[in-house]
Amino acid sequence: MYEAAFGDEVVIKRLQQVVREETLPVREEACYLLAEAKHPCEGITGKEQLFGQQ
Amino acid sequence: MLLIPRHVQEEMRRKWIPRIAVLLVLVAFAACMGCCPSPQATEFPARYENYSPLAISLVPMILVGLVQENASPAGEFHPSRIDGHGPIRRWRARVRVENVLQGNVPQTEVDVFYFIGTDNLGSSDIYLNLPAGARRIFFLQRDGGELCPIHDGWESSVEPVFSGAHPSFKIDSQKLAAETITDLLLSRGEGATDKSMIEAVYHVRSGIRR
Repeated sequence: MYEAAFGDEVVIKRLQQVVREETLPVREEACYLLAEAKHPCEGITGKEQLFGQQ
Repeated sequence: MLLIPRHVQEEMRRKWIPRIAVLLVLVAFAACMGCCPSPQATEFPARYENYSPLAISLVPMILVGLVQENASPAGEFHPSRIDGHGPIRRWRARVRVENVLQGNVPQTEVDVFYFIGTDNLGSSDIYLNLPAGARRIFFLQRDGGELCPIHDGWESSVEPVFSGAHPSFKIDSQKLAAETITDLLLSRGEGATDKSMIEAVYHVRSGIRR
């Protein structure tokens, strides 16, 4: 599918939910992608927070 | 001049005119069948798109399906109608319907029909490839009574699902289909592993502008 097919806001919001609900390896990747898109990983502490802020 | 009594003329008019009219209609119908045979099914240009949330909301049918067996040819080669005149062939994929995200698909299993040219088959991953066991979101429309991908024969008509099966997935009718799709793609379903969920996360990333 094309870029932004699902909509930026929708994807960001859902990735933030993934960060809250998923297992650590999945949360880390979601956090990395959010950071790449310059969005915070809300509710994340410790290792993932550091990872997301790199 | 032959003189026919008035009552005989009336009788003839009453009896024969309807019969002649029926005969003429039958002759016209037979002539039409002879000169206008039903057209051979062929591929068609895209009428629907899935490049934005709004466009997705207009797609007639969106379903999550599991391909039951490798898609196989379902017709003979014939000249393409829209892609030059190269040979093209109809394919069929048997799909078990797992979730209906938009539209009405009452069956639990459906056949999805599409066309692929011989030149294109297997040449690139932009052409539709539906192997057995593939779980996809299908963006579909009806052509006659048959279900066809919105981009006939193109991979852009489907979306891979890495997050497993979602038998109890609830659809919120207040949400746009694009949001429902994102929810499903990123909700851990049956059979999903960390690896497949990471694949799902990276796949959905294409929806973010950077």
